Order: sequence, then C-alpha cells, then structure tokens
Amino acid sequence: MAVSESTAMRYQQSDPDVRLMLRVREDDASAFAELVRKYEPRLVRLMRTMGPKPDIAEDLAQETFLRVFRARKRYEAGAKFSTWLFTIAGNVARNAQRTQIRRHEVSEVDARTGSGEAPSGGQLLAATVLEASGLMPSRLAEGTERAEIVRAAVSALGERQRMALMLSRFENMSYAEIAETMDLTTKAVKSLLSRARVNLKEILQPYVDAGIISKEAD
Amino acid sequence: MSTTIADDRPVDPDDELLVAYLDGELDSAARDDVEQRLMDEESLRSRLQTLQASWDLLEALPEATTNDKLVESTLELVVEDIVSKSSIRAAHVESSRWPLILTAIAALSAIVAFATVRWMKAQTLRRELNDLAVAEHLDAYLYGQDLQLMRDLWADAQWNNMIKAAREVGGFSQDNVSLISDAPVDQRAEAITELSLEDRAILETRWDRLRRMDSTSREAVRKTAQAVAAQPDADVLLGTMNTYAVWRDTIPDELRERIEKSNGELRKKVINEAIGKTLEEITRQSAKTLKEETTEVIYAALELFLNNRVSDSQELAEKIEELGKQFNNADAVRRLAMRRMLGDVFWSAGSRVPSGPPSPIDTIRTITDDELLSIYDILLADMSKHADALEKLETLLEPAPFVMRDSLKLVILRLWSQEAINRNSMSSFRLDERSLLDRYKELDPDVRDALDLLPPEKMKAELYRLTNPRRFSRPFSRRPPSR
Repeated sequence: MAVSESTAMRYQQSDPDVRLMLRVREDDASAFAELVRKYEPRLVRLMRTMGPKPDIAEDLAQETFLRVFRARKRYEAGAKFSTWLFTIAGNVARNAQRTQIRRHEVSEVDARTGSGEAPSGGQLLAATVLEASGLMPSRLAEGTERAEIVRAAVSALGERQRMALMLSRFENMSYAEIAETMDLTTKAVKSLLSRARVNLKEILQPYVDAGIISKEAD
Repeated sequence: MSTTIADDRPVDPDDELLVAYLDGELDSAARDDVEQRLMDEESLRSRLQTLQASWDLLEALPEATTNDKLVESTLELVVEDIVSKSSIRAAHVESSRWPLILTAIAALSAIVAFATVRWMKAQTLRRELNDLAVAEHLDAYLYGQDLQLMRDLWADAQWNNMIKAAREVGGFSQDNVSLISDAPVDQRAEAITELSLEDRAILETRWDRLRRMDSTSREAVRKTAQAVAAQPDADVLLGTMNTYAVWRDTIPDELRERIEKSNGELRKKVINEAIGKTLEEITRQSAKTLKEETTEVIYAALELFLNNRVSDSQELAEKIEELGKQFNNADAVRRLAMRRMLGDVFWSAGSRVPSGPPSPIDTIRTITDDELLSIYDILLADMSKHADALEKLETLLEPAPFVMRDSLKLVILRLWSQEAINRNSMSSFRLDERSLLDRYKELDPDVRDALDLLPPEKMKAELYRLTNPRRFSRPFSRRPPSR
C-alpha cells in the first residue's frame, strides 16, 4: 500500500526505529544490528506464547527478522516500526502453528482421528487444574513453576486474544496500535482484550484460590 | 478447567467496560461514570480487583533479556540467506555446467558469507567504539553544547583561577585525563583492557547512560561530539566542556539557568556571581581540611585575644567565671565568648533573653582586622609547619580581583578561627571509657550507699550523672536569667 509523503515524514520524525529501518532499506548493516538487538528479546517473549512451542521461540524470532530483512527494499514508513514488526511476527507465529498442526496430523493419523485443533496450552493446563482440584499439594508455586502455569494459561487463550493481550501487556500498545498491528477495528480489539482478561482470570482463579500462586507477583 | 470465551462470543458489557478502564482507554466522562459506579457497587469493585489481579500475574512470565549470541546468530542467518539466494540463482542459470562449478560457487558463497558477517560485526564494533568515546565525555557533550560560552570561559582568567582553587582546595575532582577517546578507533578495544578497574567502572556507567538514552537524544549527543571534533580548538574546547559540566553541578540552579540562557555582558556578570558562590563554598571547605596543628595555633591565638579582653573588663571576667561555675564547664563558656568575639551571633541568638540588659559576653569587643592578620603572621612565622594552610590561603586568594584580596583574606582567617573553636569543642567531648564498676568504686561510700537503694535503671542513670565530668547542672542551651 502506498504511503503518503506526509505520513512517511510524520513517522520518520516521531519514531527513531523507523529511521533505523530506512537505513536498513539502504543496506546499512549496523542499523539492522541495532534493531535486532533492541527487538529480538521482545520477539522471543512474544513467540514463547504465540508460537506452537516455547522452545522454538528463538527460531521464530529469527525467522521474523529474516523476513524483515528480505522485505527491506519494499519498506515504507507507513506506521510505527514496532507495529510493522509485530504484524510480521504475528504472521510467522500463525504459520508456525499451521505447520505444527499439519505435522501433528500426519504423525497422528494412524493413532486416532485428531480433533483438528492445535495441541494447546489449554489442554496442558486442564490436566494441571484437574490435578489442582484434589491432588495438587497446598504449596506456593515457585519462580519457573509459576511462570509455567501463567504461560500455559496464556497459551490456553485463543490466538487473537493471546496476541492482543501480549501487545497490550508487554508492548504497551494502545487499542488503536493493536488494531493496526492485527488488522482489526479498535472495537474488536476492545472485545478481544475483555475476553482475554476474563478468560485469564477464570483460568488462573483456581490456582489463586488453592493458594498455589499468590495474587502478587514476587 | 472452565471453557474459555471464544473470540466471537459476546462478552459481559461490564467486563468490557472495566477492562477498557484498566487499560486507560475510556474518555474522561466514561471514566468518571465507572469510578462513580465503583464507589457505589461492591460487586463491581471486586470484579475489577480480580481482573487486575490476574493481569498482574502475567509478571511471572520471563522477562525479555538480551542474548548477544542470539543477536549474532540472527545476523549470520540473514547473511547466509542473502548468499544462498544468490548461489541458488547462479546454480539455476548454470545448471548445465559441471558440478565443479557448483562446488566453486558454494565455496565462494561461504567465503562471501564469512566475509560479510565479519564486515557486519566489524561495522557494529566500530560504531560502538565511536560511541564509547562519546560516552566518555557524555556530560561535556550534554551540557557544554554552547561553544561560544565554552570559549568565553576558557579565556576568563578569573574562572580558570577559581577552577584551580576548587581543584586544590575544594575537592573538585574532575580531571581531563582521557580514558580511551584519544586512542584511534582500532586501538580502543585494547585501550579498555589496559584501564584500571575504577576507570573501567566509570566508563561503563557512562556507556550505560548513553545506551539508555532514547535514540533521538543519543543522535544529538553524537552530533555535538562531531561538531566539537571539527573545531580547530577541539582539545581545548572539550577540556573546558568537561570542567564546565562538573562546575555547573555545584552552582545554584537559578545561576546555572541564567548562565546558559543569557549572553554578552549579562552572562559575564552572572558567571562572576557564580564564581563568587563557588569561592565562598571552597573557602568554607578549606577550613575543614586544615591540619590539627594549625587549628591549635589559631585557637591559642584566640585565647590570647580573649584573655586581653578579660583583663580589660572586670565585668566580663566575672561573668565568664560565674557561668563557668554554673555550668561546671569553664572551657565551654570561654569558647562561647570567643564565638561572640568572632561575631558568630548564631551561638547566642537562640539563647538570648528577650528583655533585660545584655550580658558582657554578648557585648564583648569583636575581633579586629589586625588581630586576624596577626593569626596569618603567626602561621607565617612557622612556615614549614603550616605550609599546607598558607598554600591554601594563596590559592584561594588568586582568583579574587586584586583589590578584594585583603578583605577575602580576613574572611578566610575568620572562617578558620571558627573551625579552630569547633575542633576544640569537639575534642573536649572525648569518650569516657571508664566502666560502670570503676565509676562506682570512685564514689564516696555514702553516695554508694544511697545508690545501692535505687532500682537498677535509675541507679545506672544516676551513676552516669554523678561521674560525668562534663555534666551540666542544667541544659547548656538555656541561659540563667541575668542578674
């Protein structure tokens, strides 16, 4: 989509990362390195919850940057750089999910008819919650264990809810920015985030009630 | 586990409202409405709290942390991608050629990939080393951007003398030794390894500050550094900028602002005012660093001046004796008289009785200029012993205009005299190291009998009171009524 000169100028002036990306467009390697250094950790965090498995988060973050670099010559300053980057990241995560599902279907075809759904954090969490109802020891989950419960809770959300939640909570994006990143209306983002928050509350509440995780983060 | 709400299922309007409220996405009218409802409705409040609590739990997710190896391998991946694409294209075109050619292309690709990665890394390292030199003088570039001001200061003899005095007397720690910025870029990495741990820590702190700046500000600092480097007097400028950056921190905000926002004659006037403030401060500090033997000599001179006044005034002599007895501390009363002699009103103003005739201590003859100058002569007479103090004095006088030096000398000697009294006062409160048992044994048997009858805590307090040689019969700050 062509970007008007005034829009390009506006983003160029207001967003230093847009200026870096314009330098990348001119094959400036150090500018690209700076963007990678700045955004890669954030992409890895996003991919841990958006990708099919947390342990391939780094691969997916790299894949995202590969696409950014490949697309550099077509880049136009039509939005904040982070909006553009997270749009690409969303696509990479979605493709990875699809590939995973296909692999899963192929490998499981002889075993049983699949549900057609991705193996979700929800399934993992459901098992853990069942356990929580009777068998879970009444102790407080610690560091990584608690992080795993929370990660599984986030993974149990629908893909779009999860994406909206991550962008809102960790990238501090406004509804308008999330809408632009996810190609949705602001109203749809509002509803998505409401569902995400309500779902998250309902998933985690049994853990809080059972005293397995405390309300306050350490 | 409860079933999660799918994206297309309706959500409770109150939940939607509360989430938008928590996300700060409501306009002010809607926000006011929600807040009013929250005050009125307990159930809504509790709903808000549980929504927020689960949101807060997201903090448990691992933080985004930089992984240099990952960054590096991403860059390598990108380069490999470029190279493999070009070799695939080449292979496609040349598919009819011998496999040897393909092998050669692959080998060439590997070499190109390797060289490109090396080049990208070298570029990044070079940029960082350039930035490191900027970081080393970060404050100079941040606060010394006005090059005309820097040149004016450099040419201002009074400012330079003041800085010299501040360095020698006032603990002004800034120096202009370069850590790495003087080294050529390709030798800086090695220069870092040769730095002392302390210098490395300094450099690292400045580097962190530069990295944490937003990229616009960082770019502005880089531009200032480039602009300074392009000046014919770059070294002198940078030195002055560094000094100015430290000095501006020591002067009042209001003066700093006026210096940076004015120009011409007005600016010169404000700079002089700020120089005066700094000199005042370092003069005060100079007293703190006087050697003990110097303050003792000054104190002895002050005692002599006091004795002269006591011999001249019977009334003063009687008053000092009377208060000394009353407070059981003749030295403290003499020090009080000396402070009054120096015109130190602080020490008696608080205890002044509003009515009645003034005490002879309050009306003691103040120290004369000749007396103060005689202290200087006494120090001069034993030059080797008081060389440090005399050097300080000369350094402090140097920045002052010639006509003002005599009066500044008197101010300095007066401050030093006050310090001599303070030190004498402190030394009179040395810790009494006798144990409680020793103190008890030293008392008269009758007093001991009386003490034995007291409860333990009271006995301890009384023992301290009776055996404290500096005890006062009443609080020192409260003066007995005048006769």
